[in-house]
Amino acid sequence: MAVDIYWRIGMHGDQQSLRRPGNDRGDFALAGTPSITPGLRSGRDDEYRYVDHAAEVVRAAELSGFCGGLLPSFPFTEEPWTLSAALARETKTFRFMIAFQPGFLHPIQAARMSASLQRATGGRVVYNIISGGGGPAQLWWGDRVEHDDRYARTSEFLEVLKGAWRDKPFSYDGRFFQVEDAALPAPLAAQPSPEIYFSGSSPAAIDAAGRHADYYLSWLEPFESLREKFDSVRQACERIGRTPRFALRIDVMARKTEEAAWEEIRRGWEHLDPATLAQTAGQQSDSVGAARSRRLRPQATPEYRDLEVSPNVWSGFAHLRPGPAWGLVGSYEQVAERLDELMGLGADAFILAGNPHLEEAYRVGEEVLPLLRGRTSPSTNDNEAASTPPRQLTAV
Amino acid sequence: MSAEFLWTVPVRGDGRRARHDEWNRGDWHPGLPTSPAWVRDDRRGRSDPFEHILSVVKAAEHSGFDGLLVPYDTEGEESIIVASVAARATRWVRTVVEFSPSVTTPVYAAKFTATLQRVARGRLDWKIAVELDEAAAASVGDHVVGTDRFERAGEFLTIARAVWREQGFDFDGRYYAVDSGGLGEPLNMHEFPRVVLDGASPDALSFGAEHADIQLLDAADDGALDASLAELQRLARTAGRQVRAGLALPVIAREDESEAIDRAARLLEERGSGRRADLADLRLAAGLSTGFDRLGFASPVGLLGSYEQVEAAIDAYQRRGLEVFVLDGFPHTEEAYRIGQLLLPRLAALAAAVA
Repeated sequence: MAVDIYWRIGMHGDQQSLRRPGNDRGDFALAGTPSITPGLRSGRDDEYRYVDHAAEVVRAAELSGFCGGLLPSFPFTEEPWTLSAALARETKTFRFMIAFQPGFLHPIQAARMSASLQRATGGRVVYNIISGGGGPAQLWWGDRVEHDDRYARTSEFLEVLKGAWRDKPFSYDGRFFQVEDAALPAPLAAQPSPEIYFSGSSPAAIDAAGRHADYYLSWLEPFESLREKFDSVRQACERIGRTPRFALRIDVMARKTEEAAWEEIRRGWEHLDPATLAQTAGQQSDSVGAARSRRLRPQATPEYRDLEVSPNVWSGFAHLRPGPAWGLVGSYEQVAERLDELMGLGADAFILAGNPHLEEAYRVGEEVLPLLRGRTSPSTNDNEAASTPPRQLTAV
Repeated sequence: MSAEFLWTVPVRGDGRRARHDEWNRGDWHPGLPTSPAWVRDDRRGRSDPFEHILSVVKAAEHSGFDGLLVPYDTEGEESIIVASVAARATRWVRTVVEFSPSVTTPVYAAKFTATLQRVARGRLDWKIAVELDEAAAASVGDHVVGTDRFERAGEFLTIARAVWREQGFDFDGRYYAVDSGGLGEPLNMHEFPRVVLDGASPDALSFGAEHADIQLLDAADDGALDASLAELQRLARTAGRQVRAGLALPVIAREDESEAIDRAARLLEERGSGRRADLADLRLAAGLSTGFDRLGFASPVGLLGSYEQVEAAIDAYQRRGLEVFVLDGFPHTEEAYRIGQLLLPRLAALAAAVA
């Protein structure tokens, strides 16, 4: 059973270094910073757009051994369906993991778009189903459906999407969706239905995910808390006769030595003011994942190293760049060991990321992936370590 | 304003035969004959349908069309994906993506359009399919019927346009609600797409006057065409807007009329939908004929004749006030080159002479 390791493709610009806050790649870049942006040479619009930079990040991921990339979707980002279709012909093996909320597209439309994109890419579409963080961001999209209802909608959405793909004709009379005699045209129905990476931590999410997810996707958390989460999902899935696989979205700061990695963090930390340090990311979100993250993070302190909750596991990333708080910091060997440990806990796939996304794809792909040994136990558990053979990664 | 010529992208396969089930391009109908097994063919077992779509897209771009129309077809390839591939592969030709309001929310439509417009570097247009056949609509989960479809499409366009330009946009309508929406920079850096609509009924004209930049009228009802156009312009003037009118027309054009007739006759016979002798009765004027629905086109009226005759037919429409022509013909690659190289320059010369 192969382990899938994806990279993340930034969808609203990028930051050349964690040492300095900012957005300086592609045309989301802020004015006045040293940047790679449109009009670089002439000062006029040279028609360079973010898709051109995203294409290079995708190329870096494909060249460096990642099986594909996550393309996130927020109000302020590029849109992943159209961007993936635009880059379909510029890639050979790269799998497009498209983030989307079931409320935005009708499930029949999602099925049709997916099938045509499968035809355009030769079968390289993957879903990241997200159900929304609630609060102002949700209302921005025009979505007033409440948290638990959003998961109910997600569940119906997946029933209709899979039904229309599988049955001919397909009819459905649900709370959110009703279709009569839906049928994908034969050439589209013949395409494989994409794998589903499902995000969400609440009981309702686990309920909705259990029926449909191929992978249950989570941000990084302390390992014990992840173990509990995985067990809880496994139990929920057992009740409906499914065996879930797990995926983790993890930011990585890996360097040749542990010292060099922490030095990068230290330099970034120097730019922060105390008021910024006191802020927490995702305050207005009703996402259970974000609330878990805040609960688990130690009280805010000014020392960056205090946020290292266990070896190489650091909760300060949100201070240095927009995004989740948790990630891994260490030498290439240490980061690989932590990933091995996570596989031992039950992770079957990863979505890794780093800033800048282009150069860090090359670095992590070239330096960390070859050091992976596969499912091993944590070093404190001697019983399994000797007897578990290393898992083989599939060759690219 | 100068005339505009668009080519139609095929989304259900393509070919040179009359019968669509013999269309062997775009990997739509499997199992059609290829070269014998003892002839080397490294494609065997591999499918790449979008190579065919790109051949049509490139043909239209290289041969000078102003734009491409990607139709919304519930039984075909999905149009937003096709349009994205086309936009990325082209530099000059515009892409008109057609879709139904039922497929997505207006905010999400604005969102994917912002990215697509950026990929297209400003060359994207919309066509909104308002009046879908009701069974087709139900099959894609759309149960809004009758004139309600115009009301929904109106809310859809209003919201999409508003969030493109404004911040903190609120809307509370019958079909949609938005709280504090709006796209940020640089997503909205380009113009909102031009909107193409179609129909010549009173409802469609009324709706078009309020929302269309281009309204495609009905070539099949020639008697009503001038009145429809006049009504459209009157309603548009009242709304303080400018709407250009156009037609969707299939085309079979050759060096001389008899060659074009030969082609049409052969297609009729292959499909079993008529005979050569029928063509004389189907002729409406030099370069214009009915009966194209018997060849598998949606529109019964189309252009049939020599390049000179077809030029004259288009000129006649232009003199009546029509400015945008969405042309269609198969096989879509070769016919794009033919029309682009041998007909469009005549029409450009016509425009230059009139100016």
